[in-house]
Amino acid sequence: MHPYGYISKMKIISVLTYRLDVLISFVSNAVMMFAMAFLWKSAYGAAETAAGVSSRQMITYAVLSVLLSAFFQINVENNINHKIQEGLIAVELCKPVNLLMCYLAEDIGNVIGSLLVKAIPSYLFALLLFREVFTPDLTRIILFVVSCILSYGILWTLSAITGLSVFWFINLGHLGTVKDGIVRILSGSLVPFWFFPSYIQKVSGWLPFQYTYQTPLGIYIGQTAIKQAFRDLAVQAVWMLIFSAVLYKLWEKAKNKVVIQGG
Amino acid sequence: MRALALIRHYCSVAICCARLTIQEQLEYPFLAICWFFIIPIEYLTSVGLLKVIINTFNNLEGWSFPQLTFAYSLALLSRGVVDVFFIQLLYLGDMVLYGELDRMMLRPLSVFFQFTAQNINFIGLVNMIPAIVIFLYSCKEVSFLWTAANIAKIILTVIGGVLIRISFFMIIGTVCFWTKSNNQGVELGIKLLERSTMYPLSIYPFFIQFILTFILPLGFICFYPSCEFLNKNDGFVIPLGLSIWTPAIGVLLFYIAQRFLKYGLKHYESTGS
Repeated sequence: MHPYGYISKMKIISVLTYRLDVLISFVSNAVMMFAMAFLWKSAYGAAETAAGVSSRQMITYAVLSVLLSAFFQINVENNINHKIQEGLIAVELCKPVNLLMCYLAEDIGNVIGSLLVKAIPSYLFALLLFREVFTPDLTRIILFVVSCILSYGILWTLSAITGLSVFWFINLGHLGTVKDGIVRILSGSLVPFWFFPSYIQKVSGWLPFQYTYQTPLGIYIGQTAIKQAFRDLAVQAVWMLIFSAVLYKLWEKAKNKVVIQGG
Repeated sequence: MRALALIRHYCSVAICCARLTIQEQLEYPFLAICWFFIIPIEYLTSVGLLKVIINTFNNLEGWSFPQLTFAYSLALLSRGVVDVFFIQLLYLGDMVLYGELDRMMLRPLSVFFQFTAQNINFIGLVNMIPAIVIFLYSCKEVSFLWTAANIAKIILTVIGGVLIRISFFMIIGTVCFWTKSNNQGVELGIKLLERSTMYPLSIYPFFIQFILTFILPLGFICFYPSCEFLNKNDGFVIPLGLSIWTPAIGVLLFYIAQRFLKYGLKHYESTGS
């Protein structure tokens, strides 16, 4: 078996092993889904639509946003931080594999595992519980899936770039949390940009963040027209390529910058 | 005389611990700078998002923007205190698993005191600033009356909120004595606290309100007290001035949590690490 495939497989198995974790994260998702869905429900009240979005669409958006964040598992940042802190990076670099690909394989395993035991059960739960949550037609579902993959690409490369900065900073500390916080706000995962004043929407259009959550969710709920959806997918791909290029350059530099702190 | 000497001894230990933690925190200036940004960003975004929602929909279950920020900032005040003195409660499970708690029990000092004193999060003090700013802003907007009785009520509410929060995390940490894994549980706890204090409870259906009032009384951290300050009749109608209930429930919960922690320690089997 290919080494990267094997790493992914092991990770999937390890996700399935921790049953209590699965249960708690299910409850955790349920809490967030309830909170966000009822927030929008009571915000809309009797109103049918606001900012061109119906309450039904918005509740679906909120519920799926929670599911996406459960499913976008990214560990590369902490992984690199840990390996450098413990000095394990020296041994890892000796292995005859591309280290970044290993981390990616691990995260993909994690994503597949989470999809199976966390996201899909939570989705079914949401469909049962909230009558507002709907499934769109097949074209949109396919576009949504493609868009999600590109979103994951953007988020992963961004996270890996943050992770590689440890080679220079030695201790990542809370940089990851700062980044996550910024992504959470600017990705539209809590409140989409349709509700914001138009100048903020314009600025956000030039930033990579809204293409991580708002784009796939906008496609799913039918807020984005199909034609526009293709354009958004292209923008997502461009951002992913830019970040990948930066990541590649940084990785080449970082390899020559390793400082081992005893371990 | 002996009591005085004891107090002096405790103070000297506390000061020594404080000096160590300050030095440790200053050792990583980069971390300190990061902390400096995270919490204000987090608070201001939550407020900003509430603002966006209110701008679009005018109100949330009859709560205006200043009223919402008033309730939220009341919760932030108690959270600030917890972040400064009790942030290590989030790692209670880890401390048990790595044997740190066993070491504390061997020292001739109260375990609770050691636990509080060993890690005073000075950088956390900075987090109080945005909380206080938001609080003062919303006090002005809702024309809060600064009478002695009201100030006393606010202080009692914050103390009660702190007690509810730390008891909540103590219980989660204790559960990990049995489950031997902590992080997911703490994350769930943080999410629950966040979501039950950011929006009024009245947006939730009856059974969730019931849970957050009588089973996990998180509604008392800020929702019920602010109902009283703002003269609202939301949620469950509870007799005898709601803000009186917050400290009372805080003390009761803290007692339960401590008993539970002791019970957990008694039945604790080492992980062998």
